[in-house]
Amino acid sequence: MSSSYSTPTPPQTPTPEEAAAIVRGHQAQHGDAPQAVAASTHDDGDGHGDGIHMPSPSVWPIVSAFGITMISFGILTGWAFGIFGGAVLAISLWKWAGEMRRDAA
Amino acid sequence: MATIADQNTPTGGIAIPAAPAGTATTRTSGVYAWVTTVDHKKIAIMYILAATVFFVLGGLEAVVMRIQLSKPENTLVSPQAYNELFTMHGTTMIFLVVMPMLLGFANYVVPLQIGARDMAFPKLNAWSFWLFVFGGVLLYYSFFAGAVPDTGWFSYAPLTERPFSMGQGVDYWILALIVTGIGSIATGINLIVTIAKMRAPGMKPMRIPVFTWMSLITGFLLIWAIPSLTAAQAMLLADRSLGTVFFNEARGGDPLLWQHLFWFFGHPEVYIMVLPAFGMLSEIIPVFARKAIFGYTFLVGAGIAIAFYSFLVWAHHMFTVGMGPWANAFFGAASMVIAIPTGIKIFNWLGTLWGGSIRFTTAMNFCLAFIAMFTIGGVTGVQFAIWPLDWQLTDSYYVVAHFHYVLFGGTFLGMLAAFYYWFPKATGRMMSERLGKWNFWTMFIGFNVTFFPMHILGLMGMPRRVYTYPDKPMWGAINLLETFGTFLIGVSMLIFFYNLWKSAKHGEPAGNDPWDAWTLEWATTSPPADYNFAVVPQVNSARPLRDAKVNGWDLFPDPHSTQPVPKPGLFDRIPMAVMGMLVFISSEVIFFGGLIAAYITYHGRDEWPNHEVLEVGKVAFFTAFLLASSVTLWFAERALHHGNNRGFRRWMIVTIAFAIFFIGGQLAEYRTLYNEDVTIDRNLFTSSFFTLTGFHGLHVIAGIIMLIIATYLSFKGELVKGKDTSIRTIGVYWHFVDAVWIVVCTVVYLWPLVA
Repeated sequence: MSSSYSTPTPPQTPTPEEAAAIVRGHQAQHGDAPQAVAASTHDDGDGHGDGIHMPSPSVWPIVSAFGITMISFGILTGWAFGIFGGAVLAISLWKWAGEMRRDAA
Repeated sequence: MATIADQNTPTGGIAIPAAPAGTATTRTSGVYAWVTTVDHKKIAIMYILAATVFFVLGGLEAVVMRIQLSKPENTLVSPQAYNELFTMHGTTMIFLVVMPMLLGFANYVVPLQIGARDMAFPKLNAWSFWLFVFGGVLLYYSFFAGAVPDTGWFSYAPLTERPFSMGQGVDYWILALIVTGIGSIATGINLIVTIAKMRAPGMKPMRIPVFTWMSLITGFLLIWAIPSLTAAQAMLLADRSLGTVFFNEARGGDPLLWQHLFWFFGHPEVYIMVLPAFGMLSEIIPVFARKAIFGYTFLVGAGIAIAFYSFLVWAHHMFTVGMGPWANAFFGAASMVIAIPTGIKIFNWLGTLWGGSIRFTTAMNFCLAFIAMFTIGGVTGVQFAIWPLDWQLTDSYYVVAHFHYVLFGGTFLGMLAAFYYWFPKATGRMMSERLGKWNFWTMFIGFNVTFFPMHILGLMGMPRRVYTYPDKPMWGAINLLETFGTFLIGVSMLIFFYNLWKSAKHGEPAGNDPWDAWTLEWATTSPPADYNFAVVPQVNSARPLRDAKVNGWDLFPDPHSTQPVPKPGLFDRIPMAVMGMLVFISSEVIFFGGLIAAYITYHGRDEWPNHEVLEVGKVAFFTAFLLASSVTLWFAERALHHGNNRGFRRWMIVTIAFAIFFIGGQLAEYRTLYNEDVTIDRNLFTSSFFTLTGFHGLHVIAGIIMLIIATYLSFKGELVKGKDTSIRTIGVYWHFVDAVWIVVCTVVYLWPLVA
């Protein structure tokens, strides 16, 4: 394997299987693959998406992190905090999973 | 294609595509927007700000220590307070400043450099950040609880055992670092999956920017090093809370096991704190020398070699415990070998500078200072590989001088360079070069005045971690000089903070590409939009923006274009979640490895109770159910793959039933043992047996919960053929849990039979 730091190499035309992987890669980033590739696998219209949709903000990462911290605090101070932290963690993970389900839908 | 006008590029401005209609924008202001953000750039800024707050706290602790040491036999702080100060200073700077600040820079820069719109798991990214913050808050809450950690940042046993540390300071230290450690492992997973799977088309491995390469290697170090510390901390916490005896020498425990597990983490940790800074230099120096990095392949290869060797040198921190000549020879030699790839990097940077058209910006000044200072730290580091010398110098100020030249003269100066280099991208404004020069020179002089004399004091025999010292010739004068240097560093940091504040408000507009740079982060607006790139860039070399500016390469091909695109990457066919789980599992291997190592270390040391109390026949019976559950889960996955939802659910229910049966069997075994007075706190065997099998049981329970959720989703019609990534991910985890049990079962139950 050699460095291509100063010697750019021209791209090659991908096989259909590779093209499918390229399209997946673009879709994973909410983007459209160039038509040269997209047309060879799937074309649902004009090749343009409906805009870029980034992951929505979520309160559950901070809440679940807080829950874990409270479990630790409970070990240090008393089980009441630990149980509270466990409950916060369980609820936040449930809600977080719900968000993921909605995002996937 | 609509474009956003390039604001201020010195040469060869390129057109930056605008987002298509319908692109949603998120709220950017307000506390709630920041608290709930999953945008890697905002998370990165929060990382850096939070780390800065902790830097101020850790810095103030250092200032108090230096004032205490400014004259002999000073009584400003008590010995106890001094112990707390150096413990909190070290722990803070390592876990709450250097690591999170580097991860903050990686968070900001890596997705941009690889042409991605975010990290692979944006919400996990936010989770990691908040765990770091809350872990830090928990550590500092110890001041309010009146139980400040006081056993040093590596908390050696048996000092940390309950009889010698009665308060809760050690517990705060353990739990706070476990919380931050979980977050760091999650960040490591995120970095690895992001870089493996989300690179722009055409960005082959040897086209990845060096900073991203070093962040990738750091990701692996994080996931493989931290679990060793977590396992050791779990054992120490069990010793202190449950009465186990892992490190309790009075009851047969081995304090050296703590040292081995700690330094198996601790030495890679050094490279976790240095490799990203190497990456920063490797980005900044070429841009300001106007040359491609010299020896890119060797530079990357040296990073990988350093990471590999970092796991083979841990015991050079332990020469004084008397490991014997062969162990000393191995770890001494390995420690010398690791200096070779590190030296290669120094020559890479010097080779890049050689013949370059150097621009002495503040960022470049800090990079040049890094090379000089880090080299001094590296040379003194190699000296410690010579163990007779180590015996003389360890725990003296020579060590303090050495690691500050590595982590302050190296990493911290590198981070300051990174501030000056990437600040324009993050804010759209330039930092003041005039203030930057003041910042640089006061820092450079202050740093050397503070830390260089420590070499001399160390050679003169002044021990570290002692709250005061006798009035020996020159000791007071040298210490006073060091204290003066510390205040100069403080002045320098005040200039830096003022520069940050002033430049963020009134700095010159930066434009998109103020340094005429070559990597993708400069091929978008400053600051970048939420989505980073409206069109996924297409890369044709390791310097894609240079290709676009100089060679006319179309960096942002129109989706309508018929221009061929490069081939996909190696990992494109593995779903992100599955890859994330695989990386997580590799981390878990180290965690269980630590627990299994403890069990093996203590095997056969106890008269009773020992392995003879275990009923192998019963265990074999419920083990069969666990192993069968892997097979039934595989049948379930197969059924789903063929679109047979009912079959999937049927096999899932069987899998869950088998798993519950296994856990029931394990609980019954525990009950029998407890009825025979075989409790966790009896001896080394019970300590290591219950801890190892207990953690495995917790993993099984977590797996059962995941299996139940997957089955529930199937009943709801949300887990069907084509949308089955979640069950594939859970499947990988479940098979791993089974594999761990095979190893545990072999070591705990079968090995004694054979032996």
